[in-house]
Amino acid sequence: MSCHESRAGSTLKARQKAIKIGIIGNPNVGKSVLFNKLTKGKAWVGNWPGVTVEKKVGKLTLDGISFELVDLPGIYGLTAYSQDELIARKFLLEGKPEIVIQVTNAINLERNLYLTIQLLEMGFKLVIALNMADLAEKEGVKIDVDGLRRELRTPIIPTIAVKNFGLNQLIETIKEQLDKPAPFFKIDYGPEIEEAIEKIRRLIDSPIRRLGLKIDPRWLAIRLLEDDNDIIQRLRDMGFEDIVSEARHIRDELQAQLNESVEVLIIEKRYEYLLNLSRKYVRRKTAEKSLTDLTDGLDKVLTHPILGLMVFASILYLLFKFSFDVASSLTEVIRVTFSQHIHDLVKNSLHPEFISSLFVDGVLNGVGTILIFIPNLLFLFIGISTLEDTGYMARVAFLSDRLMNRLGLSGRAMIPLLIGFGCNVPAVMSTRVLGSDRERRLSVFMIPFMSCSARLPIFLLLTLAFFRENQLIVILSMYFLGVFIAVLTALLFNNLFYRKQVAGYVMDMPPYLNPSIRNILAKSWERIRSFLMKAGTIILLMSVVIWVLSVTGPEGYIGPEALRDVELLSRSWIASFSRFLEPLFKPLNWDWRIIASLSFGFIAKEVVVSSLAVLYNVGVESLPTVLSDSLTPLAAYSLMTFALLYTPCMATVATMRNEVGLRYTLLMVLYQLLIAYTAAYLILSIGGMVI
Amino acid sequence: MKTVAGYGLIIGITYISSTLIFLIENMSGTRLLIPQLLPEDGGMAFYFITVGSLYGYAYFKSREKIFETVLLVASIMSIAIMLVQLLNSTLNLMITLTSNAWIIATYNLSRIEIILGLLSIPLLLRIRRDIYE
Repeated sequence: MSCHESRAGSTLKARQKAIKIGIIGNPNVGKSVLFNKLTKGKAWVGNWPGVTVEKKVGKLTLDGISFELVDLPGIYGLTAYSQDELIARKFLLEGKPEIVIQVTNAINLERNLYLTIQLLEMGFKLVIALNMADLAEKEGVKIDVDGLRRELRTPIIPTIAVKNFGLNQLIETIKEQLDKPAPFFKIDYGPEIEEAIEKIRRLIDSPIRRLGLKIDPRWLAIRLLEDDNDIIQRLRDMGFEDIVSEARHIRDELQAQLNESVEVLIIEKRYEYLLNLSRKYVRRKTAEKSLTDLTDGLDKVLTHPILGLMVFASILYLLFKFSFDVASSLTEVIRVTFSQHIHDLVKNSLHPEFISSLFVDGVLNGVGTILIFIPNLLFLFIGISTLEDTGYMARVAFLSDRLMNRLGLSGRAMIPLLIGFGCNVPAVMSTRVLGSDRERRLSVFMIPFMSCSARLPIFLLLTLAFFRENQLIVILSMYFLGVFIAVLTALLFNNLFYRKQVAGYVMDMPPYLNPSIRNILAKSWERIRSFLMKAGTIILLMSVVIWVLSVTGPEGYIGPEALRDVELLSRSWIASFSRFLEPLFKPLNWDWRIIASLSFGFIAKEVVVSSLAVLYNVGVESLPTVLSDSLTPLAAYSLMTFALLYTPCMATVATMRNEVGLRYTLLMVLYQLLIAYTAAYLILSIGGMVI
Repeated sequence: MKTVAGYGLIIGITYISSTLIFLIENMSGTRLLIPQLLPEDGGMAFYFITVGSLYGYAYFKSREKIFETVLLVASIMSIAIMLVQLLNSTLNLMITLTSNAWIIATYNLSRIEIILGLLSIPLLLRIRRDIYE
């Protein structure tokens, strides 16, 4: 051990509290692997204050020195546009980490460096773990580590986290850095902007010092020039209203002088610096001769007002074809495996009938319903991850920004809404990328009205029974009705709760890059796993609950025969419950069997059709005929409308609860029931007057 | 470059012609061409029009710098729909191993988007070379 190391070690040992270290990085760069390796799995999970996003904290003790490692959410920047970015920045500002480890992906280092320069601008002591160094080498990426280290004045350690390579060196570097000052880092934003930064910095400098805050005043000045709402609010809370006003005045003057958005100019300068950095220190075998030229050229096509929209609509079609057509054959395999092979196997091997029915009709039906979604979701996630990895999603947001602004949303909200046509669950989950809580809530309120693929069987059944001649038009009218109600909902809620606020934001347009298969698969798997964990458990549980409610009744135990005998089923709890609700639905002319089927639809919308078949005691193939005898075409259309608009499946509700909290979820569930009932009633009564 | 642009234009015209015939067939209710030479549905017809337009746009911009990137997007889109269809056919073939599965697979392989996708591969390679080298 060198003399320097020994001195550093003794100073460190003298510290009483654990040394706090933040681990930060873009999504899917191996951050969690590195965190787990460093903490040797000794971590605990909690929530970040005020939000339901998971927080992982771990301990590491080395030579008597305690470190507390905090795994931050995967982010691309610190602009605080999304919740994840906001959480990470809050930790950096309030958690006061002594060191920040930025885990970077050596394969796509250019994309990671934006976060690096933001962290350096904030004035942090940074240690960069250049992860996946082996894969980068295999892919012909050569990084001049020494050059980059000198340029950024920051230690860079090549690592392969999965193989423990470089981790000891990383720890040693962290220990060395603790007693060193933070490096001086500065991007030259040009004379006019620099002058404005300096003016604001002078304003902030002494109040910040007086309060003993460890925030770089230059960084604060830049953020004020970028009109960062979060920082402005923080300064106001600290009683610096006068500084905020003065900074705003300086910014307005500068904007008038430059005749361009200061925020955009600052971002452009950062990217210019970044591109120079990449050109100087990153070399690729398939030389990306002019990444900027290519990106600029592609943007001219992909953000073109007409061609861009045409390409976007076409890519959407391709995505849906990939997710639903291609996945359908795999879905069929799972359906057959569950409904025939496993169903028969379990049925024949379990006795008595009660147990067999519990597993077959309850557990297996529940699990089967979930697993049937998997191929569609997997393919959808692969498609979306590919688009994300190429950098195309930012262009989609840009294209739809003007349209979405009218609803109080930004262009990025278009993505979750479109995903909603496939499945509402990943759509609600994908609202995490949106900027503010307001935007997230508005989008989550709109998503359930996007007719997901699970509602299609209901429309198909009813149109086959009542609108055979105009089947496609009637189904399309359902999709348009859903979009119409979603738009009305956004307008209503934005007016009611947020007083017509419009989401404005500046987008960072990442350069286009070849997608990495490894990244895509990892990201898709993570999303599928999350879906299975959160939605699967609830669906399974609810399936069992509904099974119990179907085989038992006010008179006691009826038996599994109730699921096949409508007479017995009418004595069950579920029938009693539906009969209890029957007067409420009297104006809609539905009997208890339709109400019960729609209740079953809460598990998953596909269940509505099979429930109708059980309750009417006929096969799915004869169901259209039976239904056409008991309903009028108008009543059927009103039923379709109700099925489109009422409470989404419980997997969606559970996901909504996770994303926006219980209060807003309950509000939404009630709102949807009210809208569905009103729309169904209006169709029936107005239609009755017209026809 | 003129040859490259002309080659792209021919592919683009084929996409648009196929879509126009599809639309005429649908509106008039008559059969003019075998189904595998036409888009499968309205969504694919729109896709064809987009790719066709991009190829056409590239031809008219062949003297400008944007030409290369328009052609790159067009050829990627052309190959993407081919790959999706190929994957779809392969999975169907593997799963429905019935006696006529091979006939269906061969039928699917002769679909227009697969032919035009294959014809776009040399174009993509050429454009990639021009862009990256």
